[in-house]
Amino acid sequence: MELLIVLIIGVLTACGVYLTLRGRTFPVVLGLTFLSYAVNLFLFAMGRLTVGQPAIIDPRAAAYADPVPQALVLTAIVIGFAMTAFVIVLALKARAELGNDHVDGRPAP
Amino acid sequence: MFAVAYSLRFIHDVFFNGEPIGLGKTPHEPPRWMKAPMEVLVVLCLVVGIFPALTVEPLLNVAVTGVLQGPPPEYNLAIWHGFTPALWMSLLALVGGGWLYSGRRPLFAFYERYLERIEAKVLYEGLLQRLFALAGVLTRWFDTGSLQRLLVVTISAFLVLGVAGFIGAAMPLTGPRGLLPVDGMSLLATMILLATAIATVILHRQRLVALVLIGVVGLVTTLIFIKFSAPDLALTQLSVEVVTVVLLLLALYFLPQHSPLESAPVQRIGHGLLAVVAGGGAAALAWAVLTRPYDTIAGYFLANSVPGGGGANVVNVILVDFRGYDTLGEISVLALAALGIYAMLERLHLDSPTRDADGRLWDGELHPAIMATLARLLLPLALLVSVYIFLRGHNRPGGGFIAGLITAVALITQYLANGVGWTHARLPWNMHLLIGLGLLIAAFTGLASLGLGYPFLTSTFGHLHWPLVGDFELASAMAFDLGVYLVVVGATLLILIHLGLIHQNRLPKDGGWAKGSVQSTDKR
Amino acid sequence: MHLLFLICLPFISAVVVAAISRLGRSQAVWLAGITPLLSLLCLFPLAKTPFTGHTLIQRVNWLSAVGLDLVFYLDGLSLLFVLLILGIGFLIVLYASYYLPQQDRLGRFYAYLLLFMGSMLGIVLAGNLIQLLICWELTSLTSFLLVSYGYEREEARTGARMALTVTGAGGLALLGGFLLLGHIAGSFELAVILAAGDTIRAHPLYLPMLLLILLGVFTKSAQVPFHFWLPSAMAAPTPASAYLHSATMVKAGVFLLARLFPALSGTPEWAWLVGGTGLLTLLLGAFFALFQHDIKGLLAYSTVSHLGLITLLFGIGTPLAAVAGVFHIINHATFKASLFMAAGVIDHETGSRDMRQINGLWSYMPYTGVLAMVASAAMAGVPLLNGFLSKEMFLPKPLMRPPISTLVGCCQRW
Repeated sequence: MELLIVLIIGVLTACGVYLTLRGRTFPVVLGLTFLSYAVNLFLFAMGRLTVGQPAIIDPRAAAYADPVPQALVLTAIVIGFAMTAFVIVLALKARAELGNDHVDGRPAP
Repeated sequence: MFAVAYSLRFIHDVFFNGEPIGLGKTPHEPPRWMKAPMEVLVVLCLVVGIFPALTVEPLLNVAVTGVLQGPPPEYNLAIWHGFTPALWMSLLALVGGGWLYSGRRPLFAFYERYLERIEAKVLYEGLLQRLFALAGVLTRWFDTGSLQRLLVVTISAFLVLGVAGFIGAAMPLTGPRGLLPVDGMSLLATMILLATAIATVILHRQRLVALVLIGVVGLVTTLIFIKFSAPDLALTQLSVEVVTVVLLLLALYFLPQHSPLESAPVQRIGHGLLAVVAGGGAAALAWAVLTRPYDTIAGYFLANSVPGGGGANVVNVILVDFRGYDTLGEISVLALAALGIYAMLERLHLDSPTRDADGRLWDGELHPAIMATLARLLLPLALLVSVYIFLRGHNRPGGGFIAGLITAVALITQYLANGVGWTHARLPWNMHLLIGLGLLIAAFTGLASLGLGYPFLTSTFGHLHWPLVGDFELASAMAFDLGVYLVVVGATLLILIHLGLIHQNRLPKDGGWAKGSVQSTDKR
Repeated sequence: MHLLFLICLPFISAVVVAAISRLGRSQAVWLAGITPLLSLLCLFPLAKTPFTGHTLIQRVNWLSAVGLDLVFYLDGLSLLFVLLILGIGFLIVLYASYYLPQQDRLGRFYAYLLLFMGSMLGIVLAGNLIQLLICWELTSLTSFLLVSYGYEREEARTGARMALTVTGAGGLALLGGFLLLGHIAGSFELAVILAAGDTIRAHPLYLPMLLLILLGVFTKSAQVPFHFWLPSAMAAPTPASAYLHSATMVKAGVFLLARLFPALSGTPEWAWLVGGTGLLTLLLGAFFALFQHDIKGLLAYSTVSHLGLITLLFGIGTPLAAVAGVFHIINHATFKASLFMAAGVIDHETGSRDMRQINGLWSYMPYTGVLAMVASAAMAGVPLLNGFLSKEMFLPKPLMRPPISTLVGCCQRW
């Protein structure tokens, strides 16, 4: 199971890096979204993987998943959304001001 | 001697030496009180000079004790020591200074001819200019104005540094921790995720397709959170996913639908290699961590969640209670991001495209009747769910973040289905107010505990018996969570509504959307 | 009465002054003038301790976990500087209200001035090095604000930037030096450091530490070759020059020399570095002062020269020389501040600071002329005035080490 998660993190990172290296704003935003998935999963995995033991106090539960990374990732997801929104609006603004959507603000030669 | 000479020059040149030259006004004595500070100081000079032992000696003694950290040495402050060598030298200096000043004209000429340019200031300015030039060269060397190049450099540097850290460490990559068994469903989900992720990259130039595919990636991520005992995360991720896709869709409307193929094949292969190495690095790191046992600080939170925070959902209790400070900071960031976006959107002029990428006119039917009706029906239900999720957040998966997102999704659905104008007429709240209120409530909860003598953001809780509902727990952290809820709702709606409004504002006034002049919006 | 209150008072009243100055000019003047008087009043009950031969040390819990507390240290040297800062500060406030143009609301100027006053008090009352450094940097910043007060003028901006660059770079060096010193002494607290002089002097890191600290001191006190910022900073309004560039800020470097005197002095390195720089500054400053045409420029170079003299005295390293140094700090503050004020009066009345233009003012303003004459006589070291006394102290007894003393003796009278 760990192997699958590792694979997912790796592929998401690779996709994110490749897309952020593109020359247009929209793919870069998608790439950042990918990277935030990867980072969130990575942080979440720092608490190791546990199946079927949510961190909700219950006298019958034998063990719990680590709640600390979960709390971190929860806010990270929300802030990730805010940052995505910020970047995409920045991209819109750049498009409006510069007339194109190249990341360097200049059309391709 | 020079001291004497320049003192002489100061007095002689200013107060004597002929008449003033080329002054705009006639000077006269300054106002009475402007002279008073000078008088005080000059009198001090005189008094200290004539009666040193009476005036300055005690203070000097004490100060010297401070300097030496011990008793001051023997010395004698008196105006007259007899004809000591010091006195003679002073007199000599006075005479010499006078002589020097009287012969100043050749001296001045000499100075202006040879020495005026010799100044440390020149050295300083030269040094400063060199530094600026160096900074300029370095900056231009790294930053050629190309973001892609800069990113390649940055990521490569990260990778090199990361790999360098592991070179020489004789540690196996795989640790001793036992692995969980793989089941079929997980395998399937992983395959779907990997396939869609790779497909997104391959098809990324068709932006709409890529957006849909990335939505799938997000949904599978939600499933991963469910699988590995993180229901709160799954709920958050699900609602954020919805909001994100709506956001990107709205933005995509104003952007070209396709990305042109610009990079040379070599460049793309290079980027691909870099991406694969980065992905491999992240995977290796994750693998190394996941296969090793660890010590967690979760024990404290798990043990104190119910007795200390009064909630069974440890994740939520950490957010609103144990680490309330962090959360306060995070919602502030959220609020700031929303306000920043608002500011950027305010004067934004973007032409609304009238046709889609394939040249078809956008549908003039703005709000399909079935969707509008359904959305209106769903609204109370969705709000009820969000209230439920909010209230139970302390003990079961849920809480302010998630409830806020659900409310936001419910309201955004109204905007999507019925249009901004319709919804705005029925929901005339100012989102800025909502954000501010939320932040204030959250901060005030903290201050209240400060006012009661506890540290900032200490929470308390009690149980309340409600008729019909039964025993109900009320924690002060709930007020904090309410603040979180309001900020999340306000920020999300502020962003999306204003993104939607630019398109609404740019609609051609007459003739509606479908009949708008067909113009290429791509001003390139 | 707590020393922390003494330091905070100017900061608080700076904010209030900035806020109430829109009510009117006189309110700002009153508040800004009352602040140093009130502080002096607060100081009064505390001032007894140094006179009984003890040091007043007060502490406030700050970062106890890393062994850092806010420590306030009031001994004779601090007391002297506090008196200078507050006393001359009060006179400057009074003076500035006449100097600055009537349409200026003064709020901004007084707010900066009070901020500076607070930072300066922070330096002289600091009981640990970190605190001292923070206030040290604060004085650099506030002096930047004061010099650039007339920011419409190009020279004000240049001068302010130059002062900030030089003193800021020196502050950075000082930080390095303080970290080394703290490492050597095992504590950042002044009381510990002053008692550990022998350990510090014997440590292998002594020389780099000394160099870094001296870099900080020399930049702040405008020693050659870092002196050039002081004449450029004369673009400041004259009250600020009189306060910063004669009585207080440039003395901060000298203060630090005096403060760390028991811990660092007494080595050949100290004597040659401090003494040599002081000597060079003394000579070059005096030489260049003669050729200035700007009256404030002349005073600035003369300040450079006098600071060199004080540095030289501390560099000599004997107790008697230290006495002379401290004495000259007091005297220089009194006569140089009054001379700057006189220069300000002349500038104010004639609209010019060029000595080739302003001549023969005796017939227009004889009273100011008398004041300026007495002050410059003190500066020149004429008998019956305080400048003479402190200059005379340099060579009374063969107490100084022979080679340096002869050199100093010759140069002083050169």
